[in-house]
Amino acid sequence: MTDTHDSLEDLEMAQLFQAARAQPMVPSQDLMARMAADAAALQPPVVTSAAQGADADHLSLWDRVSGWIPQMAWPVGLATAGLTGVWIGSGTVPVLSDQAQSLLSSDLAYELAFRMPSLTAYLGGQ
Amino acid sequence: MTKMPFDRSSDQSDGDLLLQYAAGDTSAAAELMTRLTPAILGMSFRILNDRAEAEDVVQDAMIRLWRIAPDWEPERAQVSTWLYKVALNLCRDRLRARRTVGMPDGFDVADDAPSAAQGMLAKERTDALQAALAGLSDRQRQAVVLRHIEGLANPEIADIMAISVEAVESLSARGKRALATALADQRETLGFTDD
Repeated sequence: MTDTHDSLEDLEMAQLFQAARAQPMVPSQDLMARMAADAAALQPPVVTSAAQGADADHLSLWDRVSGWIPQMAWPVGLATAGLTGVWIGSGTVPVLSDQAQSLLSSDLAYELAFRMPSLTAYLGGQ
Repeated sequence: MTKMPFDRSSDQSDGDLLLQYAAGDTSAAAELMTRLTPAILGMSFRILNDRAEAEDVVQDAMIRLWRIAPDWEPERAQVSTWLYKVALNLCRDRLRARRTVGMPDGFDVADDAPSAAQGMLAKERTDALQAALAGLSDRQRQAVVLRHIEGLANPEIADIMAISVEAVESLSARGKRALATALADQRETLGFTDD
């Protein structure tokens, strides 16, 4: 059937826009890893006492995650290792820098591993 | 008290999270990334029509967000609006750079765009819309993306684009009409003939 309309109707345009909204862009694993490294690197330093408290919280968090959801323990570990690998680059640095250590001891890796399992697999080399 | 990932309250504002990040809570950064990245990436991709460039813009914009975190004043702006504005300016810089080096401002299919072989009508529509968006002027495309796809209100778009609300209305209306005309000959492909 030949269509004589020379433009789409408002309802049709609305359906096109709706289709676009319904397919949100998914950030790539590489982008998430880069942003995670940036966030860790640029986070303002905390005072010593607060840092000690945060470290205690971190350990508690790690224990809780491992205890509540044992199956999450290995991907979280992979994510942490992977994020650290991203952070320190191509492996030319044989020991962890302070910043890499900071990322390792942060909650960010846990959060990302929980929110984005695909990122965990990627970072784990799977 | 440390929050678990699944404890993070969804009613915490982006501004609160940014301040928490600045205070040492790295989990707040993950929440912000999760909340903000898809929309900013979507806008950037639709404006730049290049996935890799859009991701670079998002990363640059987020870097600026992390840097401003210690000085963030929640009452001055919404984080999302601020981030849209930064990302849009970064997109504009890249569009200008393309012209400087003589690159066409036309449509360039993203490398990782799913193919039509997926056979989904929604994907056909999204691809057609993306192609048609590339035919608009930069400002029309920005206004249409922010208004009709990102769903922002005209005053917020005016703030992001640094133009008047009237200009936003005009740009988005003209852009939408241009899209409707450009896509008319694809009506059947887009599934609008069976109604």
